[in-house]
Amino acid sequence: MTRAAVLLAVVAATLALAAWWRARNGRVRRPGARTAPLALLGHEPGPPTLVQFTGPDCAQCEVAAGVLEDVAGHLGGVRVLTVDAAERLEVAEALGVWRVPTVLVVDRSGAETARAGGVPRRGELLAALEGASR
Amino acid sequence: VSAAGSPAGQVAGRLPQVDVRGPRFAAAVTALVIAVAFLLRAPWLVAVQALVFTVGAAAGLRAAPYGVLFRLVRDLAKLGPPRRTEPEAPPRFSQFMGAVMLAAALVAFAAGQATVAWVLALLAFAAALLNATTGFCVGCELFLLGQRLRRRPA
Repeated sequence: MTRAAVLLAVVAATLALAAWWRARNGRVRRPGARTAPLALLGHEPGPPTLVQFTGPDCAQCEVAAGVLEDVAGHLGGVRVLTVDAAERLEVAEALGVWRVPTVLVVDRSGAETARAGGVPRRGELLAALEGASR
Repeated sequence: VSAAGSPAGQVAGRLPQVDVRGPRFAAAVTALVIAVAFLLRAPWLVAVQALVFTVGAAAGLRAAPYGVLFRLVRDLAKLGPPRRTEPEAPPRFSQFMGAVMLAAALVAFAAGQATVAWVLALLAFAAALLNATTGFCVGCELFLLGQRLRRRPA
């Protein structure tokens, strides 16, 4: 009886964690700090840019790349940069990228205006990119 | 864990791929096995699961017992070919982490520390349940962190 209660408590805690993770995963949000990703990556500012951090063996990165391609194609005039986080670890660290995929939205001045951890939600990414295009 | 020889099983020039449903299925079975072990106070069942993790980590997901079971269920239930595949390495790394955790649990059982052992087993249970319900893969999320720690001088 007690063991069943313990097991139920663990299940409840795990499912709560799962719900929290699901609600958070892929959300496109304002960055905690305004960073300048392009300067760190050695690119000039210019068109609105999506920077995707990928890693080796990252299945979700391929899904994210599909969303980026779709959104960039929809809007037009968008630059998409893909960065291997394992190769550019110091850049990932400087930008506070902790997981792959992570997608950054960068405006014309080269400043980060939004980011998403996980496969970004299409509608939210499109809205953020439209904001960065202005 | 897609069948060898299926077109999705191996993309030319790329790392081994598995059916995305395979690891989710395996995680669900894993959670069930550990839950039953806990309810029945059966350390031997924890040992069975530890062995399953070890085979998956050492021989790959295609040879892993729950991978074989998944293919059987897939064929019996006519689930059809995979919608998507994913690289094998991250879920295989998770099998390794599971093996380490349950090996530690078995050491605790042997040392008479049953409570410690069950806490370790329930942590593995929680990780498996999280994976089965959300696709969240602890091994995948920890990959970058691992790279970071490896590169950083002590």
